[in-house]
Amino acid sequence: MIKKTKVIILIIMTLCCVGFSYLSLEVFEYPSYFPKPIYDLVGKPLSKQKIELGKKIFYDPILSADNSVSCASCHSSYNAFAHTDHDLSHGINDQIGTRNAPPLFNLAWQSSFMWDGAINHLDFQPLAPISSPLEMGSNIGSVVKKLNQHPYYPKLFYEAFKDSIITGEQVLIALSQFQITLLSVNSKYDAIRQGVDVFSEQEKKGYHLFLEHCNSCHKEPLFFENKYENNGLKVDTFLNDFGRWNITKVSRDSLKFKIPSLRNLSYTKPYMHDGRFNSLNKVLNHYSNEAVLYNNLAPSLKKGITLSAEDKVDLIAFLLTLNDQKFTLNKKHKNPNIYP
Amino acid sequence: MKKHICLLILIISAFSTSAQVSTVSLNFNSLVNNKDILELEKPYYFKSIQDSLQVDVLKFYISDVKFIMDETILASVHKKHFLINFENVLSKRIKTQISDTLKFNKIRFNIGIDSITNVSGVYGQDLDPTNGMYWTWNSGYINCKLEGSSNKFKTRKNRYAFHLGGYMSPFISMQTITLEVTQNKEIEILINIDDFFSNLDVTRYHTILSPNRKAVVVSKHFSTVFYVEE
Ligand code: HEC
Ligand code: HEC
Repeated sequence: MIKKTKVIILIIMTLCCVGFSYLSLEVFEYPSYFPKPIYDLVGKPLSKQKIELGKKIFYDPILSADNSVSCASCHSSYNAFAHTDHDLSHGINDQIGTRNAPPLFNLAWQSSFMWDGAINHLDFQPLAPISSPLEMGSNIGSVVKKLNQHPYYPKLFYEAFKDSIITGEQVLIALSQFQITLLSVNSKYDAIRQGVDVFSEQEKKGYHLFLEHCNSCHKEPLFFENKYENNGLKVDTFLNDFGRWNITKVSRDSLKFKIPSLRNLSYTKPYMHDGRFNSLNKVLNHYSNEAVLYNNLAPSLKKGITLSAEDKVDLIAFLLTLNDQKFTLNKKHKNPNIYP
Repeated sequence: MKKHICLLILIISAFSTSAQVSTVSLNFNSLVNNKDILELEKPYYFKSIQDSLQVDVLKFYISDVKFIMDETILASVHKKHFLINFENVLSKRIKTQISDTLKFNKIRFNIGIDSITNVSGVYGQDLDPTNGMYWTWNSGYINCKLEGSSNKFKTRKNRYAFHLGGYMSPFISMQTITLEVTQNKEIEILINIDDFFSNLDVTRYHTILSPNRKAVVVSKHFSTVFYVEE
C-alpha cells in the first residue's frame, strides 16, 4: 500500500516536472511522425504566462453575460474537452444549442473550426460562443471591459503582454495559447508508433480494417482531416443542419461536415455533429448498413462498407488504442482554481 | 567646443529633416446636400431623395494607402489598416509622413480588409475584434457598417443596415479605388451620402448582414461615392 502511494507520488512529481519544464521552455513539442502544425507558432510564440492566463480565462465564467457559463462548462478536460452525455450542448439559462460540442485537442493542426468550418482561425473561435445568445450571451467588448475592471486580471495580462490595458486581441491570443497546448499524443497507438508497445492480434486486424475503410478520411496520425464530407447521415428534420452548405451555399456542400478526429472516442460520446449515436457500435452500423446514398455521398462510402460482426469488434478494439488517458488526466490542463 | 559642434549638428539635422518630410493627412467626411458636414443620429432632409434620412453608424476600413504619380506608386503608408469611425473624430483623419521630393497626383486605397489579413488570426488596434467590425459566427472582418433610418425604407422601424464584408470567392467585397488629388498637406476625401442613397434600389437593398451577392453589389456602389474636394 505504502509502495503504491509512493509510486503514485513519484508519477505525479515527474508529471509535474515534465509539465513545468515544458512550459518554461515554451517550446511546442510534438511527435516526429506528426506533420508540421498549421497554427503560426513562429509569429505568435508560446509563453508560459500567456498559456496560464488562457487557462484561467478558459475556466472562468466571467466570459458569459451572467457569469454562469465558462468554456469548460461545455468542454470538460475529463472528456478530452468535449461535452459528454449531451447530444446538443447547452449554455446560459439552460438553453439548448444546435450542435454537439466537439473535443479540443491537437488544434494546432486544424485549419478551420466548427462542424461546418465557419471559423477560419483558432484565435477567432471564442467570439462565436461568447456572442451566441444560446451559449454565453455576451460580447468581446463587454468581456474586455469586465476584465479591465477585475481585481487580478489586469496584473496577469500585464505579466503576459506587458501592456497597461487589456485588449480583445490579448484575450483571444491567451485562449489560443492555452488551447494549443492541449496535445493528445500519448495513446497506445502513439506508443506503438514510437516502438515501445505492440498491437494485440485483434487490434492489428482492426488497424487493417481501419486503413482499408476509414483512413481515407480520418487520416492517421491525427485521425482527422481539414476537409468536409457527407458521410451519409440522414438529415435531422428538426435541426435541418446542412453543414458546410450553411457557409458556402453551394449544393455540392450540402450535408458535408468536418471530418472529426477519432482519438479519445471513449471519452467523447455521443458522436457526430448532432450527437445522434451514443456508442461506437451504432457508428459502425451506420457505416456498414445505414449510410444514405445522397448524390454527394463521399465516393469512398458509395460502394458501401462491409463489416462482419467480428470485424466490428476488431475495428472497435483498434479505435480504443486511440484513447489517451494521460491527456484526460493531465493536471496541467485542469481548472487552475482547483489545481493551482 | 565639442559640445557646440554636436549641438550645431543636431540643429542642422533637425532642420534638414523637417525640410524633407511633411505630414499629409487624409480627412474623411461626408457632406449632406453638398454643404453640411454629416453628423450621426441626426435627421437631415436630403434633396436628392426628397425625404429625410439619418445615419446612426458609419464605420469602414481603409487599407493599403498609396501615393501615386501617374501610374507609378511612390510611397505607401506604413500602417496598413485604419478604422474610420464617424463616431470618433480622431479616427476620421489618417496622418502620414511623406518626403517633399515625392510629387503625387493620385492616391489609391482599399475600402475593407484583404483576404490574407482575414485568414491570419487576430490582430490588435484598429483590427481588434472589440471594435465590432468582426463577425462572430462566421469568420471575417466587416469592411463597412452603415446603419440608420429613413421613410424611404419600408422595413421595420424604417431601418436600414449594411454590414458589408466577405473575403472568400465569389463574395469578395473589398474594393480598391484611385482618386485624383492635388498635392496638399490636407486632402479632403468625401463620401457622397446623397449619391449612395439616391442611386440605391432601396426595395432590394436595405438589410445586409452577411457576406453574399448583395453585399458585393452594395460594396461596389459604396466605393463609387468617394470623391476628393478640390
Ligand atoms: C454552450 C456550450 C459551449 C460553450 C460555453 C463553449 N463552447 Fe466551444 N463549442 C461548442 C459547440 C456546440 C461547438 C461546435 C459548434 C459548431 O460546430 O457550430 C464548439 C466548438 C468549439 C471549437 C471548435 C472545435 C473544432 O474542432 O472545430 C473550439 C476551439 C471551442 N469550441 C472552444 C471554446 C472556447 C475557447 C470557449 C470559451 C470562450 C467555448 N468553446 C465555449 C459548445 C460550447
Ligand atoms: C468519406 C469520409 C469518411 C470515411 C471514409 C469515414 N468517415 Fe467517419 N466521419 C466522417 C465525417 C464527415 C464525420 C462527421 C459527420 C457528422 O458529424 O455529420 C465522421 C464522423 C465519425 C465519427 C464520430 C466522431 C465524433 O467525434 O463525433 C466516428 C466515430 C467515425 N466517423 C468513425 C469512422 C470509422 C470507424 C470509419 C471507417 C469504418 C469512418 N468513420 C469512415 C467522414 C468519414
